[in-house]
Amino acid sequence: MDYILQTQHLRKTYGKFVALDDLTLNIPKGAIYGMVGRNGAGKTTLIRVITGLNSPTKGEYSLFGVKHTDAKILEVRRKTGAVVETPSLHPDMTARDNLIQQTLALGIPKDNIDNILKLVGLANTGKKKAKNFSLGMRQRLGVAFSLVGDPEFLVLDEPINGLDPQGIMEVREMILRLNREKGITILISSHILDELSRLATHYGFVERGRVIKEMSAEELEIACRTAVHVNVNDTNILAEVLRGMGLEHRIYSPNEADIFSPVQVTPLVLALNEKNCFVNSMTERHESLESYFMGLVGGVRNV
Amino acid sequence: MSKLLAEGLRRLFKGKRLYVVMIVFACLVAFIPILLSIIAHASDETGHADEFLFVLAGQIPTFVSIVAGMMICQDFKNNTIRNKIIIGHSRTNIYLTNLIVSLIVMLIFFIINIVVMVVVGGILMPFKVFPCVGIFKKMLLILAIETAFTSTIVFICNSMKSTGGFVLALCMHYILTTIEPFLNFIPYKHRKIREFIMEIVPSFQVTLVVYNSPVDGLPSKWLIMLISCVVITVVTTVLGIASFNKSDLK
Repeated sequence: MDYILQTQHLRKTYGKFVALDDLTLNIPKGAIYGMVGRNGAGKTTLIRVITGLNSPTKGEYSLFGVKHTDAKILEVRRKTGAVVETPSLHPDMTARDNLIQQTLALGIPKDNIDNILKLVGLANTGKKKAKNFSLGMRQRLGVAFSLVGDPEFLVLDEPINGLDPQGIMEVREMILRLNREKGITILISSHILDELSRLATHYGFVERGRVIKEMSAEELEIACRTAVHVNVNDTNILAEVLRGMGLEHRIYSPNEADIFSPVQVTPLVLALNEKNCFVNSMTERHESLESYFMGLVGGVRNV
Repeated sequence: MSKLLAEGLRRLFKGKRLYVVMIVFACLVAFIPILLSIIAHASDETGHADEFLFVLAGQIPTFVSIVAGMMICQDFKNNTIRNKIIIGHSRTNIYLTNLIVSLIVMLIFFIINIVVMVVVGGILMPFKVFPCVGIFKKMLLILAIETAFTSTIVFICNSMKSTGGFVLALCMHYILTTIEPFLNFIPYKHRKIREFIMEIVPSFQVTLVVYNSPVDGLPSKWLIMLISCVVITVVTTVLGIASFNKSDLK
């Protein structure tokens, strides 16, 4: 598999504070990689490190296969675009002028500016200066900034912060379009897990500066799908009965199991009863990304 | 670096600040010969325009700070510096671009100073020796001093990355000139030390070049002054680049 970004045992400290600790992460080419984590988990620090704003204290990362210590890293950064926390704009300039600044810094023609402004929904802002933009408009202009160089890798840190529902929908559609039509690999961090679950093809769960789990959307779907959770006195007998009934299941302990296929309760309970297996409880559950994340990091804190 | 320069220069010339400050500076420069010619007429003396050609040399860094220093600090404050780093521009190039843009600003103010002084002063009063080689040599020495000033402004603003940096750069010359009288407390037997400090610190150099040397000649220790300007420019630039390369940005 081709990876756009790989980090190995990345560590970043600010004085005594450890922001990233032994962080290893892999972003496959063409993915929308959702980074999930609490406040202060290290998401923005990671983004700052990979975008070159901060240097890692230890460890390494490679972007487009080029190690960060290699002189060529500056060349490959040309293929990235990023919005880190708040959008970085020239407040006294119009949206168009802002983007012209970026075309000059990139040394590319201004031809595509109007298309980008249209794409982010800022085509009609005219002479309005960026300092007079609403939060949502600034956010969109930030995204527009990151698109000027026609990037192959886009890093979006909380891109829907401050957007209204319409804006969220538009940004979501834009992200999906960029990924599907242009094949842009996207790293996106967001607190709005429900929104992230509509976009991401891969997930990385970050906690206390480490990636505690990486998985694809399919794997998450399996982990989160609807199941009947059963508590019995002997899961060996339960497994035998379920196999006999042709039902998909997973045994977790001598007493607990999940059944994934649709199940009729009465025949199952009767069959178990015949073999002296007693059902203590039976509940239906469906995990969301949020509850899965909570389960991973253990409890509700400040997500 | 040409791309960064194009971006920086557009930012410089696109805003109103440069033009407003240029007009204010030009008015200030024009005010000097007007005031002095009024005084000369009132006292029945004959003033010469070239005698005060460089009297505002010490004020140029203030105006450079207002335009270029603030531009650098705003780049950090608005986080627009990120946009350049993210797309792969090296920090060394970003720093050097800031220096070049600031030097261009300094040149603009230097030229305004000379042109307005020559035109307005020349209309109101006669020249004593201008144009002559001595004045042009003096002009080059002042240019070297202004370069050292500008390089220090870029160093301060780029290192502090905040409004505090801008304010410090703005006040730098005035802080140093406030200290100048205290140099007189250095005992006479150590006068060489005092003289040396005067010769190597740009703010004091301005005093020596503008007020303590002939109109058409250089101060006796001009070479030491020139070398110190070159050293200040190189040291602040090297230190500035090194510290910028090591620093973490928001």
